[in-house]
Amino acid sequence: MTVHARRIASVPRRGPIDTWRSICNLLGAEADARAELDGIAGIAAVLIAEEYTRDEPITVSGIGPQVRIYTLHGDQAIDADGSEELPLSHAPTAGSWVLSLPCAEDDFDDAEAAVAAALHVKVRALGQTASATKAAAGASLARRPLIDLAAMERS
Amino acid sequence: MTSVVVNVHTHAVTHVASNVLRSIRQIIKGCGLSTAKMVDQWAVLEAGVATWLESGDLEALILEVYDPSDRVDDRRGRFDFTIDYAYYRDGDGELWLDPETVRRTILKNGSYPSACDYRLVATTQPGRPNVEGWSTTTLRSTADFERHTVGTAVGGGSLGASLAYYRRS
Repeated sequence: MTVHARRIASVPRRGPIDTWRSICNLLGAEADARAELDGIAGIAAVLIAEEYTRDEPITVSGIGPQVRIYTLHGDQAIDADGSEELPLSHAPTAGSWVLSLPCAEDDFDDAEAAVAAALHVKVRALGQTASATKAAAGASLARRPLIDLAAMERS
Repeated sequence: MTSVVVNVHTHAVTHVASNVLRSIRQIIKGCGLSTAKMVDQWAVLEAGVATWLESGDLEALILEVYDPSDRVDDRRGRFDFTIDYAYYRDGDGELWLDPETVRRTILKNGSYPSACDYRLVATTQPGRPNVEGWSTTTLRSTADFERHTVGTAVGGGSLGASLAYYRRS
């Protein structure tokens, strides 16, 4: 499986909201997808501020390679040179897609409630693979084959 | 040299703004209240706090807790993050956060009934730049409340944000 990874400089280079907007820009989300991602900006900023996205990525699974976006914080963000933020070669939010946000147990219920209205956005517990989130992603993906990304990574 | 100084200040502003908001959300949650309202307003809050920290106009960011069902006296509590622009006169750019200060505050303050609500109020210098989504208001009185200073919770560059809470005396 092909995976595209990016590391986006966050606090103190960017505030959490600007970090999220940079991620949305990187994804090239347009129209409905962008509106959906803008609609969850608050909780996305919270999860970035809590640095859950430092070690576990925001993933976008859909047509084309899976995208994994990590955020850099502290000195790593200050020292980042932008080479990890290069544009993607495909538009991962075109067609059918699922974006998965990592979240610690303590904030999980709040985060899940905050994304409830966003059809393509799910929250997963830290340590849970994005494939498990994808498996529960709902009817829009029901007819697509599910791939155990973690198993493929191990192979 | 100039660009280094500018970056240090900008980084300090972003660090302090982000972590003051992060701490306030933790206080809201730790005191038993829903964070949904604050999460919905995060973009506006972050824009205001960062803008007024950058311009040097932000005096304090205040979390007021009140009970909307009490028409006689709805005041229940208050948390102040007060900004000191000369906390480190020779600030070397170090950015830090003391989560223990927030934890201790939550522990000492205790919880509020779930019927309580809250709002965030920024006190600023006159003439501060306008930020979309913010409006003017008047703080509730703190008469009959006692202020408890906990300590500095967030610092960066020359900036420091100290935390205090109010309980009815």
